[in-house]
Amino acid sequence: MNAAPLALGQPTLRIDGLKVRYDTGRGGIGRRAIDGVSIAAVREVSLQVSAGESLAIVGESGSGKSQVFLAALGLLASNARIGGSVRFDGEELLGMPAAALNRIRGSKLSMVFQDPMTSLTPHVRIGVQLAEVRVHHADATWREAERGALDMLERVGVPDARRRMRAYPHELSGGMRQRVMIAMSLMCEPRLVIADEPTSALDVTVQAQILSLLRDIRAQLGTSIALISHDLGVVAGIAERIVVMYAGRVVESAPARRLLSAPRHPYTSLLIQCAPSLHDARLDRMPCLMGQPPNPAEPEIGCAFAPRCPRATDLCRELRPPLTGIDELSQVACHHPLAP
Amino acid sequence: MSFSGESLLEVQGLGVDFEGRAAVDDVSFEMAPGEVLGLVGESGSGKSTLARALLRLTPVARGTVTWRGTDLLSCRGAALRRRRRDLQMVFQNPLASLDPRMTVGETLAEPLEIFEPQLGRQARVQRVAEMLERVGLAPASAGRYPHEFSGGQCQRIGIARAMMPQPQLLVCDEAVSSLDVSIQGQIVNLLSDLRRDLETAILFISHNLAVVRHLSDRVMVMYGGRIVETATREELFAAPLHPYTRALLAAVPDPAAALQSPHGPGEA
Repeated sequence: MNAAPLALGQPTLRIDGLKVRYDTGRGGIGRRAIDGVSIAAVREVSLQVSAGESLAIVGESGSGKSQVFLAALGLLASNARIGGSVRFDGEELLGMPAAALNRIRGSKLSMVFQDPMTSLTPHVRIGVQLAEVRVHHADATWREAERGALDMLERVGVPDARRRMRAYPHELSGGMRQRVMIAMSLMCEPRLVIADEPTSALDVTVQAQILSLLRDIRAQLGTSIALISHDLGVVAGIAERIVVMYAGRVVESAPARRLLSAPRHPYTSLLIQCAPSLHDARLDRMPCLMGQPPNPAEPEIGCAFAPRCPRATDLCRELRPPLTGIDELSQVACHHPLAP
Repeated sequence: MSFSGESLLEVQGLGVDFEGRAAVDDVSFEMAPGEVLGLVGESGSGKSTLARALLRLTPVARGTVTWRGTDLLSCRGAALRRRRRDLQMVFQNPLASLDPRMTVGETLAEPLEIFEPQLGRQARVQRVAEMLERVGLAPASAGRYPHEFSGGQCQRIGIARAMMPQPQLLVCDEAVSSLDVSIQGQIVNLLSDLRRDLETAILFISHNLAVVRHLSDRVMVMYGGRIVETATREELFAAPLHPYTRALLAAVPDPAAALQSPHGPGEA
């Protein structure tokens, strides 16, 4: 809203001026009474995922990156107050009745969560859980749907898929369960898969396999992917475009190659330096960002990153820098951006 | 290997069984006082089970564990309680490992009430304040509750709690894995400072070699319940010998390599 539109492709998901706020009632914990507060989880976010694109949304815990997409899917807690607009294939999702939303969620627009154990139903066999997606959304018969489920399990690289169809979630490893979740998200050939930290609960070796699977799926099926992560190292190998969030706002967005090789926002630059690498020469110290992100219950004055920023000046502490277009594909919100 | 007089911990042929299957199989290693030993391996490799066995949190089927020349596995009652003071643990999930109904000050004072009951209230408060400062938290944090802190701050509290009884060995089981990468370095550097200032030995368990690399003097690689490679940090990263170690190294995501990779990042 405060930046010139980017020259991107046809939007699959378009988010405009999204705001998410939580009002908590008065309460008490231990001996302390706690006053009701208003927490700004998403201060204002506009972004789009284009058709066939793989977009990464990167930020620390509390930056609002998951909240943006949970809001889009109507999955936020009941005390969330949401403003702005989220359009999927041109249709407004915010305020859409649950029945209409359910026709889109899980079929054209699906989500893969961080923890594959808690997102599968523990007492239902894998094959049934996969098949019911197609029975429910695509009016398939159970026989057709189970054939589709088997096909999809093989496609996502689950070995011995026929036997695994009859397994319960606890009988599979974490990596296998995440493959099952990805298979489930693909059952109805969605336009967009949102993957929220899909590899954070997995070992590094399994993480590499899951990322390679997501890359193949996009190449083979043309599905758009929105990958949410706190780790630029993880998204570097898969994203075409990266959006960096901080304290409920977008602070930089650019094509991945440009963003990683020549970040303009000091926060992006520090995040890149913090990605653990095997080539870092400073063995005795591990690079990190000092300090904490701001408290979302406190009012926003100036640039939210200023207290942690090596380039901050008085201007930054007083006036919030607007998100400004750098070129037709990139934006940055900084008074003192790094040189290109 | 015989006890040299310098070992802090000496493990010989350690085995832990679950339902007849060995989760930890024939593991032997030594740790010197003040040494940081990295332990890497994937889920199910037995690294957490090994740590729990050392802390006597899970029964041991075979082998010996010698702590400063005395048998740790046969300790009972009061002797075991004294030992528990020397071996402390930091857990993966910082918020879940703190009692939500206790203030940070109460959580940190509890080990003192148990291990140093002779201390007066004033002295306890003083020790808590010193420890908070050491781990980079304001002394006023003592009056606040865990939910008021971020994940990284909660892990500082978890480390402070473990350090309160002045242990000689700190076992950190995936202590940074649930934190943002931007914050992981803060905690790794804090552990590095504690080791330098207090000469605490650390068994640092992680599945990410890029993190282990910054802290460890030596690294052990575990696979299928066994140690498959042990080397100094310099040796392991320069010339990994075991194929599994090489696979672990290859799996570490690297933004710089991705820029050159044919897979992308692509142009929008």
